[in-house]
Amino acid sequence: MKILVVEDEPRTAQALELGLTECGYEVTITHRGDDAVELICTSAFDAVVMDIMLPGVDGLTAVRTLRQRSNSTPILLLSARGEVNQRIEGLNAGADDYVAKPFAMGEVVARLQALTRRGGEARAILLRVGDLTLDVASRVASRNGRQIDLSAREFKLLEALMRNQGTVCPRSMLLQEVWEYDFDPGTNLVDVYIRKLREKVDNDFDRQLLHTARGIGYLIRE
Amino acid sequence: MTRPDAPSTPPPPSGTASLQRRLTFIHFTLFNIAILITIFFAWHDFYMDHDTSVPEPEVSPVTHLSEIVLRSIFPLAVLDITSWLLIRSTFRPIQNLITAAEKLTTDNLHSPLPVTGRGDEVDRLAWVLNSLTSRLDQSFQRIRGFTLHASHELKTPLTILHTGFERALLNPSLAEHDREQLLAWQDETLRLNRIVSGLSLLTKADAHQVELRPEPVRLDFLVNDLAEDVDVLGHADRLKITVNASGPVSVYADRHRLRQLLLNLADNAVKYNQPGGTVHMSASRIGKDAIMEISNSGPGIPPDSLPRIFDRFYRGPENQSRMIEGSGLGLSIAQWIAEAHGGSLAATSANGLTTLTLRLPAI
Repeated sequence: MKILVVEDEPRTAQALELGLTECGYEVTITHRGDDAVELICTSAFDAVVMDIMLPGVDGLTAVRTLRQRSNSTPILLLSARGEVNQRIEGLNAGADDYVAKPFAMGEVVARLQALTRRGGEARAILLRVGDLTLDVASRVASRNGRQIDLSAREFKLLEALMRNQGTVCPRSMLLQEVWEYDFDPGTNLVDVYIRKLREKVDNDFDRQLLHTARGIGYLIRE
Repeated sequence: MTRPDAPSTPPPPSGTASLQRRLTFIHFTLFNIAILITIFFAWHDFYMDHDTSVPEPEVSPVTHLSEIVLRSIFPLAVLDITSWLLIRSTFRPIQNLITAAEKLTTDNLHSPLPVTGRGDEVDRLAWVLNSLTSRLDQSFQRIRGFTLHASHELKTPLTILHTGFERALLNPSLAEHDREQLLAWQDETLRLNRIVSGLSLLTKADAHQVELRPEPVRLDFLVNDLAEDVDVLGHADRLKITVNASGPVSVYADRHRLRQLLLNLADNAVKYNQPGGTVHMSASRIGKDAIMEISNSGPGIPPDSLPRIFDRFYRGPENQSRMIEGSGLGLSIAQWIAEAHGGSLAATSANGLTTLTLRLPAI
């Protein structure tokens, strides 16, 4: 899968290149916003990771230009943490998602995977991991035919994990998707909820579905 | 760094117009003494000039004196009033200067004090004060700019460290001992990250560069929603959570910031609690105020520390021994959020019960 990284800060660009290459992506790097627009219009990328502060034209303008030219390549914006305004502006401009700096590599990868998947298929209503199923429409979770009683928050957390099954969901991503917290609250909220979820989903079964990527986040897989 | 508006200076001396009053008094006294002396000499000369051997029975010296006094009352009153008006108009620019200077804070140092344009001493004083405050303003802006730049510059190396640790942690053949070490270092980068983010938020807030997006928000819903998280967070310590937020309490607020504030208070109520303790949360409307209270059991905050818990990076002696980690900015940010919404955040602590009270204008 081909990814374009648009980042003028060389060390951050290098970190992104390293991390994404290790995950099996084919990475191209450019440092300027205007160059990025030309590159995206001329060659096909599966997704773009773009900083907001860029020489040439800034990230927001670049996204706007691309969307005006009817280019729908998924774009993941990078910007300073906690800048809710920038995030809303970015999404309004036509970006698909947003990761705050300083970011975790796992989060960039998880969001890129979600973006490239989102392009292909519509959002599934019935999610399945092994013998665990989650019916998003009727809000019912069950494992091996037995219904699991979940609170609204636990349901949302399980849904976020199952939509990204097989990939590590970093804490920061779960905080944003489940709690809509754009900042790192410095609590172990995610960890205690995962513990509760594990009690309900995994405790009575031999096969564990919820896994911990220590220091990074959590994932669900068969 | 303490809060810029912290009441560290003593209150101004009362009776700011005392100099004006003193001058008026001196003027009055001098005028009156001068008039009295004039009266005395007028009366004295009158009798000295007349032949004392020839009596003038129709006008006694006493009657004559009272007549002179009566006649001089009018010019005396005119003089006194004129001098009072003159003194008052002389002092008005000074009074205006005081009023304008009293309104100066670190936030509006760039707004100049009034200059009358007469080029007198008061104008020169205003000019000197203006150049002083503009230098101060520049220094404040430089400090803010520096902090903003510093936190921005720190973000790149932090990202690189963080992604580096992540990549190292993803290596499955990592020895368990090394993994533990890496996890501890990564925790520290996360903490550093929180400090840098908090610092940059507060610096922007000081410079009024943080835009709030207010909308009508049901405070009671937020409190009930948060209570579930508090219950889960306090589960390990067997905390008992009670909530009293039944009536509708609405505020006009930035939802994200308000939730950030509430989570911070809730998190503290769990962290500074004791095993088997309690947390009570409530939202209510009293008059024109929406009030959210959160109380927790625990060791409490000593009276000496209480006024300082909102200070940036303040850590009370009671926390230095406990192993509670924080950015040291949580309550400063919470207080900023409350004040940015036209509200307040206050703390009390007594008999093992600590209460944080958030007050916001209700709608």
